[in-house]
Amino acid sequence: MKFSGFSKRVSDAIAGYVLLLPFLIVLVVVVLYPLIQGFYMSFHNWGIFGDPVWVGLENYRQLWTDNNFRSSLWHTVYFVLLTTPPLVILGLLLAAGLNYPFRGRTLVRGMIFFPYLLTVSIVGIVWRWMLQRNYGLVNYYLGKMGIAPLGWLAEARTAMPSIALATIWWTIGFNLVVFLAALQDIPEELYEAARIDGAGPVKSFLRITVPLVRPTTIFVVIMQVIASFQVFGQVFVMTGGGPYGSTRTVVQYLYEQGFRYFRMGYASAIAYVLFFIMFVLTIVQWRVMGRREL
Amino acid sequence: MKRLFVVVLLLLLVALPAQPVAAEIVVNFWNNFSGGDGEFMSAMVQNFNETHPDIRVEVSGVTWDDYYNRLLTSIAGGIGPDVAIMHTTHVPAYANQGMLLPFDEELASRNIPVDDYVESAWTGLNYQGKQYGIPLDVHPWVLYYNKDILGELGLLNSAGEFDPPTSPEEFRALIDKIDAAGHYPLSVEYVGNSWRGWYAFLKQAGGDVFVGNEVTINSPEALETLTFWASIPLAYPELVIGYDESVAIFAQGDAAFHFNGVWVTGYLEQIEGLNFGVVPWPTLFGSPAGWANSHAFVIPVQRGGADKAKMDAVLTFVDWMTENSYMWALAGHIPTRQSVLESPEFKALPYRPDYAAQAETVVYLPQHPNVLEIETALNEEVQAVTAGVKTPEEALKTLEQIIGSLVR
Repeated sequence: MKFSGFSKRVSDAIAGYVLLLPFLIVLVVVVLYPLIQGFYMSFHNWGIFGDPVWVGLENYRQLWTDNNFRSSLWHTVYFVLLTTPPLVILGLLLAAGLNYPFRGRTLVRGMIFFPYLLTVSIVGIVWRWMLQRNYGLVNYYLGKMGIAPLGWLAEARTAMPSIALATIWWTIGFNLVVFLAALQDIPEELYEAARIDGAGPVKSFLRITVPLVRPTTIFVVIMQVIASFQVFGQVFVMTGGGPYGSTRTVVQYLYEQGFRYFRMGYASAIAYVLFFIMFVLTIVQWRVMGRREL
Repeated sequence: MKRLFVVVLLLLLVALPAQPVAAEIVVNFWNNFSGGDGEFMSAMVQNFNETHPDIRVEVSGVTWDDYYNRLLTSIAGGIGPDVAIMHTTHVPAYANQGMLLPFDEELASRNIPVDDYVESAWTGLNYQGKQYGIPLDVHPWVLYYNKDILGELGLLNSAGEFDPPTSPEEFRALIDKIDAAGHYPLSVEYVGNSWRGWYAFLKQAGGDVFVGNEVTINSPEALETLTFWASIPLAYPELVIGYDESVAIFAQGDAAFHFNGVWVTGYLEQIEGLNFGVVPWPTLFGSPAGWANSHAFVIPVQRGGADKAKMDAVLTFVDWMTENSYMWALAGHIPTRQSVLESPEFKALPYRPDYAAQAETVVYLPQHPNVLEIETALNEEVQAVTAGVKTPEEALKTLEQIIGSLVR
């Protein structure tokens, strides 16, 4: 495209920005503006109607001493620790296994990926019923093995691991697909050469697969930690934060403060603290794991 | 001439049907009813629309778990519905934020029969001297019992019905007896809103959570009733379950007793082979009181302000809905109008009249803009006590502190 009166470079730039415009508008309206607005709100007492009151750092100061915020932060970290290692390691192992050709491979891949297509409410409700004390499928099979029924979601010590289990079942398919894609990029000759040199499958997995999918692993770990830090839906549907608040996570707390108790400013402050934590963590992970790459 | 006649005729044909359509007022109505409740609500609205050609009520149903989010954001955006369902306990928080329209003047000028409403339900919607809602129902917690199990143990009277216990010792003895006989004694959502049961007993004993700006929860009455309420799950930890399961166990015919809200009647009565009865919330301490909430009609504040014709249509609709609420009682809820409670249609319904009298003695949580947060605290602390991780003394102390910071 050539605009009269402009040089080619300038007119190319105009055309470029015109083409970018629809995306930029969406970005500004639904991402950038709320981001800045949220930050601004976090320094106010902000209700639904009425004028917001500037309170400076009061919301952040209050967060510092808020027991519910502290406990929800700890619950979130616990959830991240429970879910990230299995989701990454199991995802890679499954991908390695499902990279070998065997009968019904596509079917198995499909079956593992399938839960990822479900919405969080369906996953939550299904697991809520499966984990029931008296009529739950899980206790039914445990009972067949002679194990006394457990109140999975009714007891604090098992509630969060149960949510983590449901989450792993739900989202492992995504990591599987990402790792599978990475595995396809590893040249078959490397494995062949290893075989000729007498390396078994375990050795070639550890010496060839793991190092070569390293960039993907870094990507998956970082994305996984970010996603797990933002856990909300499963908890909301499966336990609602209970029993006695023992599974309340940061995003759930944010939701309660903002949308149930109308403290939009306080909720925004929670969001920014969470953002800051994830930002720092991502940089640390990038530095630690990515160093050899750079 | 003939041609002109045809033209005029055609014009009339086009113009005439358009007139009543233009006069029709559309009322947007939001509610959070799904399942059985949703079906009864739709049937009522349809019935209203058929009998009121000048008003068309359009229903927008949202699942209960995101209902308040949707309502909140729409009202904040100034595009809320013309009329919406809201729980009585939610009203102070929303009214305090200026999201609801008080309509005392409109009630007076349009002859809404205020005296016909059950008093507790009506005044529950009066916040700081202004009326913010019209109650559609009262839904207290009541006691359901399995007639087969109690009959087998000889616990029914000569009429085949259950006489509720009158003291905590008597109730506890019943639970122990049923458990000893190998039955599941009591199904209730201990992992959930079981604080409602305790709150009812607290009010019976003369205590309260807070009064005005003063926290009164750390009282001997509270300690006595909470200790009793927790004694059953502490003695039988396997009874500690969530809501879905508590309903399922009773519905399967396995549980002798079931504490739940009256909304579950409509579901239980459809279960083949389930032989159950229902009595009002038992009075074990002092004077009768039972936890309840209500579904009420509220009018969200609109950006352009209230329009008189619309307001007329809304109040006509709401008045009609409560006047005909024996249809709503089919879902299990107790109607709020004396005329309905005394009507032959209502009295002929199964189960409902057995607990209708409870509408007179229900207690809502005290009004406060922070009451939803207080409710969460009650919910969690009582769960901690019934799970055995906190003593009643510790929980009451925590509650005193949390609620203190919320009401002061």
